[in-house]
Amino acid sequence: MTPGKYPELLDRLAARHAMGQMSAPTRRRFEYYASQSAAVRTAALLWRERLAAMTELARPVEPATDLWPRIRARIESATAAGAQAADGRAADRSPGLGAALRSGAESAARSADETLRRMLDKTRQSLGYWRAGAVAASALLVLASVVGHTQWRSATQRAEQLQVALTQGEANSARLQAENARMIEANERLLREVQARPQLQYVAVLADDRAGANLVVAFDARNRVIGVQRTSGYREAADKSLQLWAIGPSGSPRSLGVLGSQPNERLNVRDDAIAGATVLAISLEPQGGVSGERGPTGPVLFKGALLPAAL
Amino acid sequence: MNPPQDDQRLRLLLQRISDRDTAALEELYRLTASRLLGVAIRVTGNREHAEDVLQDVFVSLWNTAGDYRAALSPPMAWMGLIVRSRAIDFLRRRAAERHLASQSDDSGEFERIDLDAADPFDVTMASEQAWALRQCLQHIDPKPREVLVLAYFRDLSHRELAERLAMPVGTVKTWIRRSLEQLRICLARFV
Repeated sequence: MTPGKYPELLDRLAARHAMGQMSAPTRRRFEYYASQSAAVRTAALLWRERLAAMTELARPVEPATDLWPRIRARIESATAAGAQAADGRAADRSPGLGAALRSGAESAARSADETLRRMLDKTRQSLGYWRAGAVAASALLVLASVVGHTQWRSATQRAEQLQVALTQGEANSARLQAENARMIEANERLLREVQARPQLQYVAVLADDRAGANLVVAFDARNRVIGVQRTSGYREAADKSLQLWAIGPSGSPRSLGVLGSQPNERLNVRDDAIAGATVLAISLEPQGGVSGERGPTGPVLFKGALLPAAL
Repeated sequence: MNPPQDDQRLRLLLQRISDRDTAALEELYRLTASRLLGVAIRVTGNREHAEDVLQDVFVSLWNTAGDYRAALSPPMAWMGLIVRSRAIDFLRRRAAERHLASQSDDSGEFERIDLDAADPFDVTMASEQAWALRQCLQHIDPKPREVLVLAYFRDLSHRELAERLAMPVGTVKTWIRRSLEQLRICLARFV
């Protein structure tokens, strides 16, 4: 029997193999042919994929509530040793972007220019008044945190979440999905290119410790305007306000203004307030905010690195 | 069809998990555990064992989520196959340990697969592959179909299947062969 000569026979065999309907000797013989022939392998894999869809037909069953805690406990005990190594690096707090990037650099960089340009076009359409390029380039691609390695990773991940949210309208664009998946690998290379260009703008994605991105802030250096966009459902209480702060290497925060309740906002900003800032933060203040001379009085809810970005 | 956002969301979660993001594993669990437990139960027939299998799968996903990209399958199909494999391995280990091929922990309540919905098949959540499969399965007569599906989910020989269903072995073999052939011809019409 040479399966290659008889396509229908091969198809039938592949179906039986995927079903688990072959006797052990027959299965071994078939798998041997598969190892020798791409055509047989292809048929076998095709049928395995087709029948894998049976798993989607099984009726869902709610797991017991203690199942996840058990999983998490096993994960945590397994990673306890690894965490200690990461903590060592995180303790080395270097405010410079370069240092943060060095500590955070993970994946190999790939070419991203064309990808970025296409993404920016689409993002521009969907973001209205934003300098869409700024948001896309840095919010979506590059987030290096000044506070260390593990935060950098989660910040980058939040950027991905934001990208997903922003491209909801592009649901059927397979190309955009592929670009989305490559985004994280293009980070380092793109940032280097971006930093080499003049006339930069700055963007930060502000996130809390748990969930995804909560606000995107873009600073238009030319017009001295900060645009703030809320991207999560977070709503402060009626007697509270969110206040935006810029933090530079010296560590003392400067107030950039108090946010209203609109999902999108523009704040005029003074040069000296934002100059040299590397991190932006949002604190929860009494309604109307505080004067800012002594920094935030309430808890910091969200923070993120402020990064240069290209148009 | 599976909305691309959901597939994409799962893909991103798998990538984040390969970067050791526990929040991503938890979210993946939240989104997929009940469907995957359904698969595990379909194989083991026993809820407690199925939960053990599911636990093992998620713990191992913590280390192998990075393998997903090589697979190219839709995320749920990839995970579903892993669950089925692990559950079958579990059954084999258990059978080997207990030397009790005939006695089963099977409560029997998860035996049947209902394609006509008491629980409506959620088209929005299914992959194209699952949708095509369901269409083709519906063309097969209920009893042979049931045998076919059981044969897929259980790691049972024809003889064991026949015993479980109280049917002649010859009938089991014929039914499986015929319904598989019907399935094959029908699925060939889809890409």
